[in-house]
Amino acid sequence: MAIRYYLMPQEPQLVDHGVEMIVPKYGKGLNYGINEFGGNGIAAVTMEVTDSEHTLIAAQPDVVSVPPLDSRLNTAQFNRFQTWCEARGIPSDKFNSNMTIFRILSTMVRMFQFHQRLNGIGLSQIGTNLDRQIGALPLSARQRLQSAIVSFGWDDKYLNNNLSLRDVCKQVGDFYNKRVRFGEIDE
Amino acid sequence: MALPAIEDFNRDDNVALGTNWTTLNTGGFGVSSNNVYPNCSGDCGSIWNADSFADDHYAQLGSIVAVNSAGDYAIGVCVRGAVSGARYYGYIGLARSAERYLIRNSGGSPTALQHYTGSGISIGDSMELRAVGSLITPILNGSTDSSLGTATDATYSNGSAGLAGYSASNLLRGDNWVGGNITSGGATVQQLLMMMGMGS
Repeated sequence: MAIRYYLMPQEPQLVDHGVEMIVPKYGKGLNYGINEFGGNGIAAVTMEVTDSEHTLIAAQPDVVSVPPLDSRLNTAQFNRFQTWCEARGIPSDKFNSNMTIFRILSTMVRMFQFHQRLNGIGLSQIGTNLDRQIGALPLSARQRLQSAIVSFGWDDKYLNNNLSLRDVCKQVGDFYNKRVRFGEIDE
Repeated sequence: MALPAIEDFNRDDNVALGTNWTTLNTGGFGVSSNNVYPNCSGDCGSIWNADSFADDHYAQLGSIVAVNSAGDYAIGVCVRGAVSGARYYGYIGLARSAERYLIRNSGGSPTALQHYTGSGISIGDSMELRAVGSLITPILNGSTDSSLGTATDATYSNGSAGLAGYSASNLLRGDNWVGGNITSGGATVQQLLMMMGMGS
């Protein structure tokens, strides 16, 4: 058995005790932990798998199998990762190819904290057009962005109408400097 | 009342917990043989309503006193529970399927944040869940439940401590619930059992 990391969809499934629960799409019954991208139905997942289970999961077209934490993505892998992020509303320019996988996942999880809070206060998704300006968003969305920022104790003056959603998502990831724990990531 | 809140369930059998508890709309708990048991048709949640909790708080169930492996029943604790949205973070264990979950329940729709198969809960176990910032930490028998793992989830930042479970069975019971605020690491189960006149 090994601890592996994946980016994969979540979906409602009937789990062992007969209840419908939102779980990682693959790896039913295995030991896992997740960190969600808000209410977008996608999560970073750490899972305890055998080699054969890993082969099966990694082969799924909607799964990104994450390389070892101390490694770095090559150019082709990094380009695919950026495309994957942008298609889902995750600002890919928050990452660079010099970052280790550990650093990429840690950075991603910190950004996800903001999206989780947005989900908790009623804005489950912000969409994939990250270049929209804050001032162009509906009032309810702006209010929830402000509420989420305030709820973390950050200064809401930061939320400038001229900023893009991309700017905000990246910045709040930097704001979030508290401890995160996700599988073998603990910092 | 003052925190920590302490509940020994020493009263007549009842299908509900009664005073000081609010059942979330996912269903709640009852009292049997001076213990607490899950008593709902799906996911059970009940929160302590006699005190307001700080954002960082904990809930403990001092001991599991009876388990029911004949069906799928779960018992455990919750933090950051609220009536609005019927939501909470729950730490539950199941004997039959030998599983433990750390879930986030939003209006009766649970999301598995952490899942462990290998062992569930046993008689004598104590369960605790701590919410500090975005860290939601399950503690089994006084130590971090490292088999299950800690979750980092920022969806809910406040609420109340309480109980979590699944389905209805008075053959699955726990006793001695405590809920309180965390100011610097929180109290241990052993410390609180001693406050309640138990433990050594």
